[in-house]
Amino acid sequence: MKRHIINIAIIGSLVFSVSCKKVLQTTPTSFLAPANYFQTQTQIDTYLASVYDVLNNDVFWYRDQFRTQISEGTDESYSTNTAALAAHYSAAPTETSVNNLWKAIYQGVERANTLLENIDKASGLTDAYKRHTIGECKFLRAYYLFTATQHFGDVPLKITSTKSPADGQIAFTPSKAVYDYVIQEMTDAEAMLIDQKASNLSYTERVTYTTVEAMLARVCLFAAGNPVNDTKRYADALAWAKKVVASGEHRLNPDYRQIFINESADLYDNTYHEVMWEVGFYFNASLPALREITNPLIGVNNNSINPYGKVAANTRSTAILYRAYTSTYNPTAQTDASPDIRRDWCVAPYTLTGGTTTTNPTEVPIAWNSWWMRYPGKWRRQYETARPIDPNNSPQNSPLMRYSDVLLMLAEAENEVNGPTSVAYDAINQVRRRGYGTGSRVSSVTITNAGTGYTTVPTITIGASLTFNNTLFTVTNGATATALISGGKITSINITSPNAFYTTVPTVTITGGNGTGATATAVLQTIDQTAADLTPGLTRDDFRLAIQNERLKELNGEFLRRQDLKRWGILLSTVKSRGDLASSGGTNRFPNGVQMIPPLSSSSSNVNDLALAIADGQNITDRFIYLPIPSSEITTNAKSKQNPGF
Amino acid sequence: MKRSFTKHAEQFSQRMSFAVQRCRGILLIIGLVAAFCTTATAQQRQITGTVVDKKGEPMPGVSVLVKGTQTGAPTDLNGKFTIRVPQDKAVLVFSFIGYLTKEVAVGTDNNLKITLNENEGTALNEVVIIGYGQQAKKDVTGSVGQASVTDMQKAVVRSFEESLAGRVAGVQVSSGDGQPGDALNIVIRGNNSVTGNNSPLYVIDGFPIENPDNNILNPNEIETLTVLKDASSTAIYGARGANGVILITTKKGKMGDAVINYNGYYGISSVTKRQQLMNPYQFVQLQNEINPTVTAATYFTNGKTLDSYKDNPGIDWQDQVLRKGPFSNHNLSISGGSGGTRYFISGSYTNQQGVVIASDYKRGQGRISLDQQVNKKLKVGVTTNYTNSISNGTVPRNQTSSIGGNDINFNLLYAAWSYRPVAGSSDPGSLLDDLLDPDLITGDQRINPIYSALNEYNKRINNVFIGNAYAEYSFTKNLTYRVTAAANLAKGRNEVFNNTQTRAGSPLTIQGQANGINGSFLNTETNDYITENVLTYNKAFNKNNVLTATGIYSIQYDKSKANGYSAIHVPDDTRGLDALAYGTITNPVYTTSDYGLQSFAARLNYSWMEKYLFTASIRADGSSKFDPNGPNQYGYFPSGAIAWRLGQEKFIKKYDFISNAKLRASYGVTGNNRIGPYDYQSQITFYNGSNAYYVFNNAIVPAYTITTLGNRDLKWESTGQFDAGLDLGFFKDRIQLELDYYDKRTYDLLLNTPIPTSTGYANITANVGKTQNRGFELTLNTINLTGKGLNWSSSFNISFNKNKILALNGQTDNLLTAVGGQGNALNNIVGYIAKVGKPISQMYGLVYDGNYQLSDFTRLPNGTYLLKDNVPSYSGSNGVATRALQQPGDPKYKDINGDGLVNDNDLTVIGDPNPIHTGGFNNNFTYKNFDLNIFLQWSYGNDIYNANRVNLEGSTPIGLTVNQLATYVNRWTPTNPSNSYYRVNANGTRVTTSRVVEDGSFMRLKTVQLGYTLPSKILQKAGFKTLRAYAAAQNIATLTGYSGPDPEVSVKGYGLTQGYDFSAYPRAFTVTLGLNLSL
Repeated sequence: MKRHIINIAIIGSLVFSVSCKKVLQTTPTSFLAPANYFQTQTQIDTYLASVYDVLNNDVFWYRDQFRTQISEGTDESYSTNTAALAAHYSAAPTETSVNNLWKAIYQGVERANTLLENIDKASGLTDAYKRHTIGECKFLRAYYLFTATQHFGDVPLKITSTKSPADGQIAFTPSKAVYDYVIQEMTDAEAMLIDQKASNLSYTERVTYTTVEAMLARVCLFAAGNPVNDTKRYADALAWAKKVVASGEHRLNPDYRQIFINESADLYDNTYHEVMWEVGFYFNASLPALREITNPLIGVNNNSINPYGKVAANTRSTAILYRAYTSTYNPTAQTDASPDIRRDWCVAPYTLTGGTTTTNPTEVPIAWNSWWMRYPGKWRRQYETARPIDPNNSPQNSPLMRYSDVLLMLAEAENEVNGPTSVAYDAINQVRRRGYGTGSRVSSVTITNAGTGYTTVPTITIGASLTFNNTLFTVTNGATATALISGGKITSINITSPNAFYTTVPTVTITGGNGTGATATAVLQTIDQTAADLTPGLTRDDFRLAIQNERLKELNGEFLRRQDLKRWGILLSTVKSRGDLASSGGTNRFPNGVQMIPPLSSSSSNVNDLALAIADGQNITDRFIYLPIPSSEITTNAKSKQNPGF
Repeated sequence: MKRSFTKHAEQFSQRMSFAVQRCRGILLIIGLVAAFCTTATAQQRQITGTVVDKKGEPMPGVSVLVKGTQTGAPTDLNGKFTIRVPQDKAVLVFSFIGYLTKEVAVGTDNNLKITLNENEGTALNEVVIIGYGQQAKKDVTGSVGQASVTDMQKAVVRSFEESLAGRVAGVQVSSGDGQPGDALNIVIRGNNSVTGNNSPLYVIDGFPIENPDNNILNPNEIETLTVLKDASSTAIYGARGANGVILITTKKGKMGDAVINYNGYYGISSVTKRQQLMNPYQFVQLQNEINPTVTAATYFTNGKTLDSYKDNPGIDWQDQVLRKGPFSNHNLSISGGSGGTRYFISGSYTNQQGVVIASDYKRGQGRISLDQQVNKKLKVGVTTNYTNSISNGTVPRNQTSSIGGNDINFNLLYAAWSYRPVAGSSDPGSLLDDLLDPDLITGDQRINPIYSALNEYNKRINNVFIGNAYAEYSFTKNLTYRVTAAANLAKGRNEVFNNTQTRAGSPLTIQGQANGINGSFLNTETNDYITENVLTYNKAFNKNNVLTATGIYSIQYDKSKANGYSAIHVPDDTRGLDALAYGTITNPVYTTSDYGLQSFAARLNYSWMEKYLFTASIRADGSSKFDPNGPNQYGYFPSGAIAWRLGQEKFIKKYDFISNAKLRASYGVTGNNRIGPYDYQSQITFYNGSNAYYVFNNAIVPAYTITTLGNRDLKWESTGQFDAGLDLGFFKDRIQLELDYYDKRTYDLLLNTPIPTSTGYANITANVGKTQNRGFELTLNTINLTGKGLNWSSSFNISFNKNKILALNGQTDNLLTAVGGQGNALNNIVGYIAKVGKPISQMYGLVYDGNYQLSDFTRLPNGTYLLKDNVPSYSGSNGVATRALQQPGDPKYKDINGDGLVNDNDLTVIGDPNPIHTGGFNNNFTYKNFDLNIFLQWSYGNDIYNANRVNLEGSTPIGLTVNQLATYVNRWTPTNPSNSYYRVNANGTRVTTSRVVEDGSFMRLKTVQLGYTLPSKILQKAGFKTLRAYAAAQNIATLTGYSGPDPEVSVKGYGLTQGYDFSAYPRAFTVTLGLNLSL
């Protein structure tokens, strides 16, 4: 009996003892450990996707916070969101958007570090695949570090992966040294990607060698500019920009608007390749989990759920941007038409109202002389093709580098190195001419029958030069005009936007206004692109001003302006000036005595907008050359140092 | 050391067979029972006798045993027994639950009269359950608290946790709110861990369980509940002992005839304190102030004016979502024992209808316990318990919908409070029937809370099976070996379904439009196995030298699984979850994980001269949660204690009134390993959701990345605890006093610590930081009145604990936490701080300094107000970015650093949720056949962050149609320069502010039970053993200055964000009538 019991006990204990080794060495089943990953090309691909993924990651980067908080608050736009403290130059180190930007940047750096350190473990990769992957990875890491030093100055140059908590105690590297590292890494990447060309890819989310060259030009301009002032880099910027031009891979899209329609419609421009690199967003209603989408916050405000998709607009364009474009101010005709088609694309001339789940909202024209309360128009959700439209999320892509930027960088660098030469003029004029479009524009409308009985202003519709079709509806893009009436008759029809690309005379339709019988015909005028050219013979300083102005007109809304102003050393003065203009208006006047830039007029509905537009100018100080180093870093990294003034 | 009951059984005369399910190990043990049972006999001389209680009432069912043999007999209905004893000097042992065991030497008298005393009061010989054994109370060296289970059972509650609060000094029991079925938070001697789990280790019938669902136990079936507090008593649980240990034993069968017991009650729960909201008149007045144009068009049509709303009672939405809920419980057991067999079989059913409509908790539970004395040396036994519990209904403190959360309108009670009491132009009656308020402004999509509560299907099901089998073999009378094998198999299931009548699924809302009808389910399964081997050597070398040595070897293995999915755009509204698969499936979950623990332990108890007691123990724990290739897989936990029974010394003995005096001191190190099973390894995951892809060529490529950074250096969190105690008894222990002082230092904290985000990660689990808990506990048990008439005994305890962080990660001296789930406006606003030198959780925000008054401004010619230059303006997170926006009536905050700006630099500690002391006061009265129990519980000195007031006293902005608290009637206007309530649509309200920090001290009359036991003479005729009827009430009255509905609240848990009140499930006041009956 006793023996039985003891035997059972011994056996029982033995069974468990044998298994105890196993009990203490468990293997994770629901995730992979780094030791078991990086074996195959698929695994490398998926990890590389995560290096790119930072670009559209959650709320951090090219989603809402960076767009509407970090990069705003300049002469091109102002934020109407009181909580966007970074945009209002009020951000403290604890500011969430600043912390999130930093975190996203270094997530990208870390993912790149991890992949670069582990790629050798994979088997069966072709040499070219491996070289491209390393090249993209090195470029992305450098791009992230560039963004870090751009916004934060001295930053950790973290180029090995984190293996223990102690690796977080890392000293900050001076900004210039970060630029040197970034330029070296990108130069290496350019060589590794030399056979990865835009012309070989049918899409734009992946880095190509010309993207690297263009980004090098940008990085060099920043290294050369304020506050690093490593001026020898102007020559490097020039050389890189010239390489892009010489590659022949990219051309300007003749129609400025098409660039952004493509972004909305998820189309790639495989003819011109003007967009060289962009952030990818994606939406598919049937696979809701599989989507990379952004919150639409920049655009024309649209409150109700309708086929245009909602936009909770937090940003308004400034009168400064509006007035930067050439135009014909005509108080009699109540028009201010611009031959530059960029203006009425970048600054939407309408607001949206109404609409139901099945009907489009109405585009209500904004008063011709109201310039502060307009919304940015570059990103128009009505061109999205993903259906059904997600009211609160947009799959619009976002460009990170465009060829027109390369041309403007070339002109700028040439001016800095050699002065305003013909090379510089040629580059800037290409961009300016494209802004005017080709073919003909509607120069005027001749009334053929003034009609009778018009008690209110009728609507004038001029046939389209561009028709964009998608499955649900057709959007036309014609010249626009307004009518004046007197005594029941139409007394004049005045062009508010002449458009371009007309090859045949469009029809003019007159509707509404309670009257009948009015008819009119459009008059076309061949566009003279040389009219767009920059005044010849400018001094170097004036040419620099022209570049600054041209970048405003061409690249506004693409999250570049604040950093551009900084490298030119005019961020403070520009933002202060914008505040003053919003409160008092400018000194320049039209012949009739009206201020060219009037103050932002105050009403009960926009009292906050006015206050915020003014506040930025009052808030900004020298310290806002950089963002504060986030508190998440300061409180955990003993070797970190805060930027001056925070 | 008291002898184990191995030798106390008699003949095996009867075999019982039970249908035992599932566990093969248990069947094996039952096989053993059947196979090895033998017969033993012994008889010489017959003794008879009667056992009575101190009132002289006969006691049936008392176990009578001949000491040192297995001969025994129970007393009959008249308390009489007959037993055969050896001729030589025999000793009889009388024992009965709740009474002191008595040993009587049999003289020549063949007819004995024995009086048993209840085990209140003089209790030195009382047996105390300790880890891996038991001890006489006089021999205990550590700090061990015993809850009076009989008193706890007076409370009409669902689980034992609910009645534990205030019972044992040093044990803090708190519930987040009144949600039926929710687990409570139990902390022993303060939080050690900053971000980790601070709940104690539970050992249920010897089975250590880290996170049990305590609902699985029927409170009626608990026999003892012991709390191990100091390190010398918990160190035997090594790596899991640092948070204290709660030892629970369940009832076993007693020798004697079968006893059938029924205990049942039925009662009603209701809510006694509600929010005071604006009435229709006040509400319309507020609307008019926010927007006169809209208000005129909505409320002042058809000739109506503001005064028209004066007599309008409006809709009381609290009436609509709250109700009186029945609460019933039935418990039936049969137990007994004869021969070598003891059995206990019971079943219970609990049905608690919540006080919020469509919420309830139901539990069915059954237990079988069987013990068999096989022969003189071998004893085997098995206990099985199966519980099925179901909670239904929406959880008001959570934004329960997984779809479109982070919106306080999903918090049910907030929705009810903020729903407008009266409609204007729309038919006043229809508000009750409308799914969506017709006058809601754009963007406000509050669903009618009645619809929410009735239609948001949220079901939580738990099935737990515990099988626990043991065999105990006595090699010699000194050496015993016990082997246990047990399994805890828990299966849970959460089901959520949102039909078209819910906010998440309605075609009228943004979430509903985006996702359609939706639902989800999640199955979880945790299988926990343990085997333990305990060898006990117990020898009294002589009267003065008694030694007990214990050796333990144990292996535990735990495997968990979770799987389920969500689906959106479910086409069918009528079939609930059955239609889920026809929707678009999202967020599929399939995870598994496991961990193992291997342990060796030894303990030595030595008693010298019955005056000096020594305990030493050590345990080594190896865990799979730590790197098997590193040096930290095994942790070692030593402890030692000494006690001096100075009451035995002559210089004390001469004072008659001192009946007991003992000094205790102990020190030991224990551990905490409550981290994820694989935290030492980095994890690469392809996580679900919308963020784990990148888009190339309009096609998505999954993005795999390291989502959690591993830390190979991870090891145990260790706690060193010093404890000094004094036990005193006076007047034959009619007054018993226990005092304890302790100082706990926890180091190598397992902290989910922030690391520089330049590493690419936000945090890592690492061993950093130190905390301290120091405290003082006092327990006073007294018998105030005793005699034939009124008897009164009471038990009082009070605990003081001071919690302090000694160090954090070394780089920073504080850890800031934002309270999530407050809606977008407040979600990222810091609300709590953990700061070195201060408690783990403190409220952190701006100090409210009244409102900006007209005198702070210069009036400009255009009629607007501009803040004077010397007055600071608010510009913090979510603030007004410019001084121009600061207006009279806005809240003003203290500019602590004096820089003229109120921002994040002016944040400071604004409240402390930690009580200065907590305690309980229990009273038992008996008079003739009446018994009365009154239990009071309190908490003093803790603050509560009343977030309800943030959103209901001028939330920013107050949307039209959003009702507010009645207090907001006194808001700031130019003519009412209030400094307590700011103006409508004020700037700078999206902050954490001292304005809503309130003193949360309370004293609560927690339990009252009045019972009447029918006289036994009457009962015997009717064939009953006992019959007692009682009325009981729970949460009867509360004394507090807190303005919210209930001061016992912490809806964001008891970690870093304690004492936060928002949309809490109301705590129920319950009144019941019940019956105890035994046959």
